[in-house]
Amino acid sequence: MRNQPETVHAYNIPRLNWWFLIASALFVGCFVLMIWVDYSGGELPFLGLKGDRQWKNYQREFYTLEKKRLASDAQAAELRANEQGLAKLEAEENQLNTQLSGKRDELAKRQAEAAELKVEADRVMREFTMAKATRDEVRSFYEAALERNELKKDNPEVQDWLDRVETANDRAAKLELRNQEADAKYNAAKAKVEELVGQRNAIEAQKNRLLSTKTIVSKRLKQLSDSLVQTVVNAPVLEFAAATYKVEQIVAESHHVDVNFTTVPRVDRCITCHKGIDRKDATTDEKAWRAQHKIDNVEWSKLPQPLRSHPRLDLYVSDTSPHPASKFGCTSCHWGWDRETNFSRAGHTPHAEEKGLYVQDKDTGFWVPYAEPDEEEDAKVKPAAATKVKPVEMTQRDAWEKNYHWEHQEFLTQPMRAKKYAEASCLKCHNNQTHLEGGENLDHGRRLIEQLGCWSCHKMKQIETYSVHHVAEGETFEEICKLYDVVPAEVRKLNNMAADAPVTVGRELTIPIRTLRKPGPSLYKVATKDTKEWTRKWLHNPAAFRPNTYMPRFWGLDNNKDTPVRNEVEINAITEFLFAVSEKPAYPPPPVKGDAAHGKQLVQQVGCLACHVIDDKLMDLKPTKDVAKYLDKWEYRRARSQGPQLGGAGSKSDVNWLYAWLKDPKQYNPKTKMPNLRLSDQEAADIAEYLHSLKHAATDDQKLDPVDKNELDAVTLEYLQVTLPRKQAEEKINNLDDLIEQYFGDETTAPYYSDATRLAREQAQVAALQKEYDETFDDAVQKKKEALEASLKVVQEKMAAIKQQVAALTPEEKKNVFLGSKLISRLGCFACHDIRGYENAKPIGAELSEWGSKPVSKLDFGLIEIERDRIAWLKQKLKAPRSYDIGRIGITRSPQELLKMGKFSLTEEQMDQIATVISGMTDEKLTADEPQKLTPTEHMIERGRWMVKELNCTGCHQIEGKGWAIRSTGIPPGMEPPMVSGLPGQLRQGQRTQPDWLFHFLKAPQTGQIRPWLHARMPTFGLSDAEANVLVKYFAYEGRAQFPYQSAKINNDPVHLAAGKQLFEQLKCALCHIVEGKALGKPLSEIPEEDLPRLAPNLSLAGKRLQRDWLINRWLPEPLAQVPGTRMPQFEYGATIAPNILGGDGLKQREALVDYVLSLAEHEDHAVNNSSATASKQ
Amino acid sequence: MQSKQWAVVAVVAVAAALSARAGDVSGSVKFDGEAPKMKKIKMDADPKCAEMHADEPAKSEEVVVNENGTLKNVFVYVKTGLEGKTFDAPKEPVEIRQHGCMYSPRVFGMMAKQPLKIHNDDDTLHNVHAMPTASKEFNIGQPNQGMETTRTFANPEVMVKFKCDVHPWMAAYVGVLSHPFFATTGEDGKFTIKGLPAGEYEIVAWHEKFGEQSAKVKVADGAVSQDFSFKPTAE
Ligand SMILES: [Cu+2]
Repeated sequence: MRNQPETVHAYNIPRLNWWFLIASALFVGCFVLMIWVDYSGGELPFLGLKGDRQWKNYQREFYTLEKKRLASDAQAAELRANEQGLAKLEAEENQLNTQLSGKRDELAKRQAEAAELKVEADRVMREFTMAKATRDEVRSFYEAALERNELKKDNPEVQDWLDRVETANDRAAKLELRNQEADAKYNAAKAKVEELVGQRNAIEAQKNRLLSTKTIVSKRLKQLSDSLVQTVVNAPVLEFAAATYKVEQIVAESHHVDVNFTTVPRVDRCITCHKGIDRKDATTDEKAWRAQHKIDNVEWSKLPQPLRSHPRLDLYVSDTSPHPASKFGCTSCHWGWDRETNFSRAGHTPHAEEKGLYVQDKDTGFWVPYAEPDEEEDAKVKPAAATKVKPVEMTQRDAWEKNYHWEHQEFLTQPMRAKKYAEASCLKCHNNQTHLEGGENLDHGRRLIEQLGCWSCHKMKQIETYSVHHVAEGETFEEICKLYDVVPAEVRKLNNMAADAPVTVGRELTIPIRTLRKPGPSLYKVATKDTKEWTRKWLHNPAAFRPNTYMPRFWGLDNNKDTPVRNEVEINAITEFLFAVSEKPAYPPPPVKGDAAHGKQLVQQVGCLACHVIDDKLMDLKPTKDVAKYLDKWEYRRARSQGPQLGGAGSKSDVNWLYAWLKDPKQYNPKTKMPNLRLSDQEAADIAEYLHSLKHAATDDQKLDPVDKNELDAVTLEYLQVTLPRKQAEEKINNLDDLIEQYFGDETTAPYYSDATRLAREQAQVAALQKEYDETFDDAVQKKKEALEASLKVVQEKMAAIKQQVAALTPEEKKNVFLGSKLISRLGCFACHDIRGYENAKPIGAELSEWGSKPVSKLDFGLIEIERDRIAWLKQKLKAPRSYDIGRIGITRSPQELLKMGKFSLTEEQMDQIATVISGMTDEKLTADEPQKLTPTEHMIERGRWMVKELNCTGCHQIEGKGWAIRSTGIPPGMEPPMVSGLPGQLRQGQRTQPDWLFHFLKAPQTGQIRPWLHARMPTFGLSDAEANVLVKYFAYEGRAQFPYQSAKINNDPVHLAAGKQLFEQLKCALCHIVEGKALGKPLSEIPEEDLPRLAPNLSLAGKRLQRDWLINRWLPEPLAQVPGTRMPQFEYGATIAPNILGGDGLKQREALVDYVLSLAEHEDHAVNNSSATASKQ
Repeated sequence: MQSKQWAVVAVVAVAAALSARAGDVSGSVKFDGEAPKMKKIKMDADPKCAEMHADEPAKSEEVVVNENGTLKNVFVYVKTGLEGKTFDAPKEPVEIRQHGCMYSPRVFGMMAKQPLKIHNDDDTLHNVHAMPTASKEFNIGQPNQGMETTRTFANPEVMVKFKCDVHPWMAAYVGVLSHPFFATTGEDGKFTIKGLPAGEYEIVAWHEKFGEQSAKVKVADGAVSQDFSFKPTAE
């Protein structure tokens, strides 16, 4: 035995074995743990694992419910089957079976016979098939042989094949016959069997049909309930095949998300947990039926999350909705990390502010919103409420932290939006639409943004919306403008087209839908409207005078409340500037003495309150909280916020100005939205007197601090130093004339100040024209020169006067005007108001068109403690816009660097609505099929809807089922302005009235024509032809009315009209309707006030106003279907009311009645209609 | 008073069909206060109406206090206690007439789906404008004397108001119920709800001006008495 040297190990083998054992055990342990984590929901608190597989628990919950649902569905299906006669069928079946059992032997014999014959028939069939195949084969061989032998039929090979063909043909023919015989025999035998069992089998089939739902449901139920099957399909490793519990996803092919610099389709796994999202609740009838029969019913819409169904399945998720989940997924609207199944990381975002009551559910341990148990209905729905413990006040965020270990995901680029902001995403596709179903917050938010003027400082593409028109072959620019009823110059400017430039085929022209105007009033003539004192008080805090004003507050905020002396200087400087540069037209006193009491009555009657609120109570509310609560009343937030709150008007303006304004608002401000109500001198004087009597004591009594002269110097110097070195600034402060002249003057001088070389250019032009004339002696040139010279002379004279005017100002006045101009530039006042000298100034705010996608890391949260979250930042910005300066003032920020956004007077809800819109303005790129593209018709409808909103038509009327705000002002029933268009199926203005009439009515309505009993007046809005046409087309298109309108032919047959007249008298139409200036047999002026509400429209105007077809086929047959609540009764035209008129034919009677009514007055001014109307000429 | 008779007929008919254990609830509705003066109605707006009351102007029937100090036109019905029970609506119609530009009866009851016959006795245009919220609104014009129209209300609702838009003073109220247990007080201020199955009920008395009053009653075999009393409201 060789003595091998013993292997020397650096380690000890036995010990190593031990280590190996330990390692193996650890490995196995980890493996088991892994499986455990994966299959148990994954919660291992001691390892810090917070339940990544929570979805499995939800799915288990879901399938428990699903089993309950299936069981109850099966029960219901069975009961329904019974209701439809299952028992009877079963009885019949049993009876037939009993009968059959008596003939069991006979049946067996017949069945055996049939079976035998079937075997035989099948055999013969096979043989026949074979024979046919053989025949075809032989035929082809024969033809081949024939070809080979040059078509010689006498060739032996050909002969041989021919024989074979004949044999095969023979055989096939015989077999065919036999096949038919065998089939016939079998069929006969089958019929004999059928004779015995046919009826029974038919009943059985019928029974199975009745039970088909139950069968399907039961099968699925059995599958889910079979614990063996479930264990196997969901077992570790085996689960890859067909697990019940699995991650589920929707791939939204055309909706993309950026992942690590590439764009990929969204893969939404939300339905892994939200498994009940597409489940529809039972209908009310079905629910009642089930309750009656004590069958369970799963109410998916009332389940706790995540199993609850989507609240708007009519709009989303379901395949029949406009946004099916299969195409849109979930995150294209909701955002969130599409692939994630962990609650926090998926980006769920709670409401973090509002506190609510929560209780801990005993079964799940989750904190859920507390539902008042005393509500009967609730107790029935959620019997669990009784078993819950005492409610605790917390936020949704607190509850989520407890329930789901929720953590804020700061670096998620698209976190889900908290529920109340969910509508934000609609904006990326639907910004062209004025109203969005299911997008009420968005609608209100956009209206607020328009009214507050957010868009006028911050560019927001989503607010200024456009349609795109692709220029087609042979279209001219003018035709396109006409198609959309837009002003050509506007379109040229918008599309950067030179004047007279033609359009090229294929060019995309941008056509405006909304033409926004500055939200604040013009300040060109402010000195005649307000006083300096009032203006300073107003600037201090506009909300103190009008709690719901759209004017923001700029002073006394977080970053300047500690500098009252400077604030007073700034406010005074702006006021002095505005009054110094203002035009000062003279407003003489009203020609008649006004009566305030009558004025008050008029304000309540003529329609002022549809747009304005007059509320002394609102003025006296002091604490902000009360005001917010009060403002929450809908009229402040909706239609009646069109014009300012008028309480306190007398503390602001004098009677003379008010009178002139009421008589014709456009003389003061041509761009105002305030319409002309065609008030008489007396009426205007009365209202002016009334408004002037409305004083706001707190404003009147407010004392202003004196303006500190040293501070004025200091601040003026500070602003001068922005562009000048200190030394020069100190000199310049005493010589400001050239810096302020530009703000004086009027629209003739303004262009010369804003373009410094214009004067010199035009002077040169005069010289050139003179030279040209000297050479040509052309009179036209001479005239042109003279005209230019004359206008220049006026300008120069005015500028000289301005120079003198400015020179005459005191040094202090000059400093104020200079400082005021700088402050207006800094604060951007001109974005909302017309201010002389700022016509071309650029808005000061940052563009917000993509703000919703701005990374949270790029937002400056300053030194204040709020959630690092986009919406939290935005809400803080709205609530306390200057708070991001706190802790920085005078340290890291000089006065010039401080934030300057004003603080708006908003309720919490309004801020949420604005936040919804702004956070919906994102940089998301849409694929071609996503955005809502508007056709010219839809474009016109949207423009019309926008104009309706802009003019606040819904303040007085109901349009598309919305509005009628004036009814909340205490106007008696029957005295409200008419409904214009209702919900789908109801009245449509485009169907009711003739477009020509509507066009002229909108342009120049007259008082006391159609419904003279109404005190409210249709205002004169001063619409252009194009604007009136937009509305006419909108009503026509929206109402799916005939357009262009073809005048209906009236049947002038005297017999027909006489029948109409007879009906008119029999139905006593003139008992309510006004005809020839009379009603109730009296002139209108003699009708007492209490009888006015029962009058009906003037039928003398019907001929040119109403559409014949609408009257005959829609209005007369069922007035209530057109206008709910209408006083117009429904008559049973035909034999019931007048068997002897027109043979008792209802349709003929309606035609005769309508033709009679339409011919009540001559169409005397038809010629006027046709001369200028463009409405129906396209 | 015809509709009241119909209602009574209906009640009796159904009561007979019910089980033996049933009882009646009856009582009277007192008016606790000084009877207000009935206001005269100005019918100038329609000369035809004025003509019919040429001798003596019609008076508003908003509040009618009977000679015995009871209140007329109070609708008394079972509000709760009948849940889960279903009753078929009678085929016999209830009737309301327009007579002398007034509704008759002014207050009455009927069952949902029971026919309502509307009759015009006057030689003028009336429109019967019923304004339910639970059923379909209707507004029928009856231009001819003697015209008759039949309508139903699909769902129960207490009360449904009728008005005539031609004659603003005309008003009537109908209580539409899912059961036949109701009655209206007449000139004696009494009411009887017959044949209520044994049980506990909430009985409500409704008046167009004075609102509602309710009482709990227990019905076994035999009659139960329950009186109501209304006080005038401050104007
Ligand atoms: Cu009437």
